[in-house]
Amino acid sequence: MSADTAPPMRWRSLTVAWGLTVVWGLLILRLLQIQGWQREQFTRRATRQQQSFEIVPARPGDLVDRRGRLLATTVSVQSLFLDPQAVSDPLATALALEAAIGIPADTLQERILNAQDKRFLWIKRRLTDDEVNRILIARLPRTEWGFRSEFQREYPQGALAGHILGWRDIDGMPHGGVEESLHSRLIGTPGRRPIVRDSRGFVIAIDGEQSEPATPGENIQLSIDTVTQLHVERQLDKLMEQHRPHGACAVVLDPWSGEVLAMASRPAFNPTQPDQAPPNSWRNLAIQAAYEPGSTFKPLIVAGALDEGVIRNDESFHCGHGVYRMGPRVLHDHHRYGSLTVKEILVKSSNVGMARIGERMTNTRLEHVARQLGFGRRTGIELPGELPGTLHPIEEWTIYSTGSIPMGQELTATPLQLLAAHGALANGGHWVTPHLTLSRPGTGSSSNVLSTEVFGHESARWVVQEAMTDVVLRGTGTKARIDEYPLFGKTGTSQKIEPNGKYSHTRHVSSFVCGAPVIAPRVVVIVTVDEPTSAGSDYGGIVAAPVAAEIVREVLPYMQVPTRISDRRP
Amino acid sequence: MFFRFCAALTLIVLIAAAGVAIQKRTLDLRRVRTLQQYRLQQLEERYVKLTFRSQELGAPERLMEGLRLAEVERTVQRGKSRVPPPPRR
Repeated sequence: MSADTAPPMRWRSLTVAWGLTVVWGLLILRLLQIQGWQREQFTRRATRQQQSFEIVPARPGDLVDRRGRLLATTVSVQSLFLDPQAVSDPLATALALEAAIGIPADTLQERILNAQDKRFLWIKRRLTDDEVNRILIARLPRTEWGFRSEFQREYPQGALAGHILGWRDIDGMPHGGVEESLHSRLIGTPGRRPIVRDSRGFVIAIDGEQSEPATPGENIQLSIDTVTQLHVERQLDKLMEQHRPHGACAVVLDPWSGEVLAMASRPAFNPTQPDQAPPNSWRNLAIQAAYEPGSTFKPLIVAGALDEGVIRNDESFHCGHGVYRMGPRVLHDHHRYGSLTVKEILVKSSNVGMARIGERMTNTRLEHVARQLGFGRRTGIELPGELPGTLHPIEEWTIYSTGSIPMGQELTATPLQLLAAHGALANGGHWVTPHLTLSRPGTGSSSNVLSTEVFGHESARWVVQEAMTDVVLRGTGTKARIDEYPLFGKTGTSQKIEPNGKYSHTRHVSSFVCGAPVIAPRVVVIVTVDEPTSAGSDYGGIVAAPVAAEIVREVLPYMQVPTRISDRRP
Repeated sequence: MFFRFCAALTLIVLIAAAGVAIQKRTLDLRRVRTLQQYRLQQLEERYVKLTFRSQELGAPERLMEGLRLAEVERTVQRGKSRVPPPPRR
């Protein structure tokens, strides 16, 4: 190299050196930008591209009866989906699936072709184990299809207690019953797990440390007893067959705790086959139908009157030989009764006698007794759609009310409201909130269960052990007499209201409320029959009383209550 | 000098190898844990299905119907021509 050429070479070297320095400098600056100043922003962007969260569904809790028998549970089932864009030969796929799951190939092919712009298509949900195996054996291309695990609600007791339980649809949404009312406790909390995918969308890792596991729903113990429920439902089925009413319901209640031991309504539906339910079967008549209670209301007023001190239990009232004028209204009895004691008024179910007691009570006291017993407001049972019934404000009461209310007219109540009120008579005077859930472990008592003293013990005792017992022994409820247990009860036959607003002479609601044993009753039962249509009498004492008695006869031995017959044995 | 260099290199390699081994072991344990979780889920699912099935088979309605049918069969075997009447009301 000569001295003349040296300067340009040096200049070029310097240029290259400076160029490299600048390039490296820029790279370092970029590195600092990525790793330093804007690190968080780029990290977020990368995470968003690679990571997604998969929701882990929570298993809904089970429902069990008071003895731990399973009423509702959840099992995991597989559902089949396709990626229509990935299906290379729709006809071949459809033919393979036809053999596996039984859906016609032409229907499947049409569905796949119609969804060519989509990446997800349900083919069949809730597959059986056999269908799953057949799909696996069909060996379809793995990129075209997949299984997704879903929860399915199952009811091992079949159609039993459908109105209490309700049901869940294919998406797990609850409809009716405790499934709906206790949904928030049953459903649990879904979890989530982060999934890392590569640039093609395939899962490459699941970050277990960041996973939030699902919290399963709470298992809930109901107060109903499956065997008691079964007895009640069988009796109702017989009643429906025999009397062909529009509807019927029955409730069995523990009067001391307010626990509902059984509740059934007809027509009914099967929670495992809700699509086959008749349209009029969804209503639970025990809480979603309000009738005038009729004569079943009379013992409550008598107990109230005794309590208020406006009558004595040894007092007699003249019943006007079956006709009595109250202001502009003339009241009638079925028979021409003369003077009747308070007990006889209940035993013979005299309307005139009750009107005379109503006059002593006056509207203010009548309204007070009815309100205390929970009429006109929901009982608060854990079921959706409960009706409050009707009890007009005192300002709207007239002279008619003084005669009507004591005989169970001019107000409406659900069968459960009426039974809860009779429960107060049976337990010595305490109205207890009827409820369906047993207490949670450790909490002591069921939530929202109130106990209010509404009658004095002596008044309640006299009405139950003297008057209502005689109703069954020699009054309108003799069809409910059974050898095994002493019963107390009251019949009721209320007239339905015609569209013109007048009482019907042909359409009735027959009912019977009873309890047993007479001393320290273990159960109170109500049977309500809406418009019996078969030939013959539709009185509550004829239609409802034998069914209620039969329920008592079957349920009490099961509860290990000794019978009178067994008492007599040495 | 050479010995020190080799010793340092060996130490670095050993540390790196130990790190790799620990990482592999961690991955193995994670895999085992995942597998155990999967097995637990499967067992739980199986338990639920078997419980459901046993409750279905032992449902009072089914048992009582079986008892009733057995009673009918026994009555027929005794030579009675008709089904026993329902319980007296």
